[in-house]
Amino acid sequence: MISRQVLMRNLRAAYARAYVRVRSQFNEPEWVIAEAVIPLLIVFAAATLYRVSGSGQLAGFAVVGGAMMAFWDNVLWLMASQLYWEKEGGNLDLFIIAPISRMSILLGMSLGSIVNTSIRAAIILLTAFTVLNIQLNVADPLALSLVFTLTLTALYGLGMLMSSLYMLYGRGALNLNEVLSEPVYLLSGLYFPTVGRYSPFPTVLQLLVSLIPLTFGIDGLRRTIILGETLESLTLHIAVLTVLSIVLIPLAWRTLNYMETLGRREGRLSLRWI
Amino acid sequence: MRSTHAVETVGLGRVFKNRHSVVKALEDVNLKVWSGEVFGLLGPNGAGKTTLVKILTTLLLPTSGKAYVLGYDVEKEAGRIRPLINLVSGGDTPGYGLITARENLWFYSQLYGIDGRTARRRIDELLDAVGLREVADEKLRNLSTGYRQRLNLARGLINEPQVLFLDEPTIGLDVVSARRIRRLVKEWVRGDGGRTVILTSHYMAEVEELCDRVAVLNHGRILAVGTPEELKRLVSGKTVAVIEAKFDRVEDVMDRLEAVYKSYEPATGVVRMRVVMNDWGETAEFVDKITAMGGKILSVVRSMPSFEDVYVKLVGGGDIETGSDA
Repeated sequence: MISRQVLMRNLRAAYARAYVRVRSQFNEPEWVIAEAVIPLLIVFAAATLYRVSGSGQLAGFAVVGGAMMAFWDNVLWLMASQLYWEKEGGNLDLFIIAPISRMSILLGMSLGSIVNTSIRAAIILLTAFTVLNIQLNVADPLALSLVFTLTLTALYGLGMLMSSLYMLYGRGALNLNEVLSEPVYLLSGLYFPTVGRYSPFPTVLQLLVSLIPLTFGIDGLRRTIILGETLESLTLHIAVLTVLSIVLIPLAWRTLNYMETLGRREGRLSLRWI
Repeated sequence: MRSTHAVETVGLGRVFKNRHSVVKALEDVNLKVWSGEVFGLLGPNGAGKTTLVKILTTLLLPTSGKAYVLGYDVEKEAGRIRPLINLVSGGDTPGYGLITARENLWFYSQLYGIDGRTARRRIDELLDAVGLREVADEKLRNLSTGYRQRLNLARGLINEPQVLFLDEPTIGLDVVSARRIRRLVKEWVRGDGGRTVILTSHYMAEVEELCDRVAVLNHGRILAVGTPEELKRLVSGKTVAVIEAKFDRVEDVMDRLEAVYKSYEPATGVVRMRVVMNDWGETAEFVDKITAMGGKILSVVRSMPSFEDVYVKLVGGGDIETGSDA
């Protein structure tokens, strides 16, 4: 049983780590603009292509996909790799000798990242919707909020899991980011729907890609933002995203503990020459 | 029954293995450090000082033996040790560059669950103590190395640890900054009878100035433990010759003089050797040896044995720093 004191200490640590991330971004606001530009260009290219081919709805799908791309980039480059950078900077040692769970650091990083990336995603959405004049059709704001929250919970759960794995394997694992980046854009449906009736993929592949939290998340957001669907038609999305959240976060916790013990045993956690 | 020692190790060992090699970083280390002591770990690179500190700070597990901090087992009771200790590594300047020095200290205070009011008060006190008040609201990335290292020390004191581990805290610092760090450590230890410092250092003068007792390590083993005065007795009755010479091909000579403590000044081309001898009469023999190597003797001065010579006697020369300027 966790005591109130331990819980409070971990919550303070999570808040502090989130503060560092948000505060750092606000101290360099030009980053927000710079990091929104590339997804925006991709969104404009894809949306324009759909528009000239006569599909206004698919153009809207591309915009939603592009906004969520910002979250995937963030999970890869500022969540999964972060403990590796913390190790290089000498912070990881200090996190380990502090009387907190490293999960509170990951939780703080996730919350800070969500705040920062939501700002970027909002810039992408608003700019693209305005410039491309895409029609919004939100019939059920509650469903939209629920799908968005569950998507981010599952997605950042995956980020925590990857972060735990990257902690020990460092630079080698960083190459995995490059490998994972584009295929996930494609498979999770950033450019076009990859699950459901619009998907060009066979059923087996659709089942596999649904393991990526972004897949059902983007599809659910498209349905609530562009197609005006309500909670009743999104039960599968909510169920899948809930299961992914329930599985990924505890798995990340266990992996982090395992990796930390392994790192202490093998010396790979704190010794940078190993 | 729990030990009353701040730190105790019993037959402690640590082996690193990979596909190509096995390295014994620590072997049968037995140490007892009392509460309130400043205890020095002295040794050349690769002696095992940092490995020992990593084990005691719960960052690394031993492969044999036992280690206790404040009576708690580092393997089984890491969670009890962590609130009571902190670590300052001189080579590292942790923190986040885009937030201020003050915000960085606040961040680390939160890892120890310190409430807002107490954290603010303690941060102000520490900023004053380390002389960072005027740059408290500067972003960390704009601070010089000296400022960052002082901030790192303040960070190490944020949770008021009972045992503070200082791993080469003045490495890379200029004379003034290093002296300031040493003064701060002394003041901090004086502040409370129960405060213990474990200091690793390359610098003789630093260890002699700060430490109540010292352990000399080499190749993962403890060669001697005692107060600086006790260790100096290892060379009492000996005599020391300080010899300065020039060589045509200095790089050939340095290896052949490996058992002698020496320093080389590239700007002048002078090699300065410090040789511990049983009798001053042995000087002539050593001078002949240098001459035979093609050396030109510039000066020979008789000196009293120092703490530095203890190290030379135990470790056998090497690249230790005299540290008088550090």
